[in-house]
Amino acid sequence: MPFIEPWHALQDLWWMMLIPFSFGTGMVYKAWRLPDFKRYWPEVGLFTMQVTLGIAGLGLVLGLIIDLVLPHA
Amino acid sequence: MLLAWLWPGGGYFAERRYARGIRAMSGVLFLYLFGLLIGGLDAVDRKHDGIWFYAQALNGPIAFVTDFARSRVSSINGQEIQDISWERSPSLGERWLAEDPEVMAVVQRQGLSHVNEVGTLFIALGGLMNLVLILEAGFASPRGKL
Repeated sequence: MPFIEPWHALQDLWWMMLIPFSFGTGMVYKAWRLPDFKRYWPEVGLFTMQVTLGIAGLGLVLGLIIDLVLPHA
Repeated sequence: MLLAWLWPGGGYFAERRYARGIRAMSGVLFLYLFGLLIGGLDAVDRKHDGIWFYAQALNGPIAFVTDFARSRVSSINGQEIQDISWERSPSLGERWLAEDPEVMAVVQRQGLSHVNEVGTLFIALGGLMNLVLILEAGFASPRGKL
C-alpha cells in the first residue's frame, strides 16, 4: 500500500531518486530565495539540473578515484 | 516561528505572504510525501532512527503523527517488530515461518536497505529545508513583497 509500505521495487533504482530530491529542494529554496515568482518554475528546473549533475559528477569522480586511482596508490 | 514549525510555510501565511507560503509548503510536503512513498511509514522512526528523527521533527507535528502511525502498524501483540527478540518469542517466530498473515503484513511494512535510507533522507532534508523557513520567520526581514 503506497505511503504505508516501502516501495521495494525502487531498491535497484534508488539513485534515480536524486532527481525528485533535487527538485523538492529547489522548490523550497527558490520559494525562499527569489524576490518574485515570474521565473519560479524555470529557476526550479535549472536548480534541479545543476544539483543533479553536480552530485552525479561528484559520484563519478569518487568512483573513478576508488576504482582507478587508489588501486595503484 | 511556532506557526512555521506547526505547518510548513505557516510563517509566510501568518505574514499574509501567501504566494511564497504556498510554494514553500508545496516543496516541503513534496519532499515529505515522496519520502513516505519511497520508504513507507518506516522512514520516520523516532525510536530506532533517533538522530535522523531530530531533522525529521523539523517538518512539524506531521512527523510525530507519522511516527505514531508507524509504531501502530509495526506492532505485533503490542510490541514493535524491531524490539521483538525472536529467540525469546518462539511462538512469534513460528508464526513468521508459517507466513502468518498478521506477522507478514507487519514485516512487509518494514523498509530495508536503499528504500529505507532514501525515504529517511528525503524526510530529513524536508525538515532541514523547513528549518530555513522557521529561522526566516523568526529572524529575517521580508525578502520582496510576495
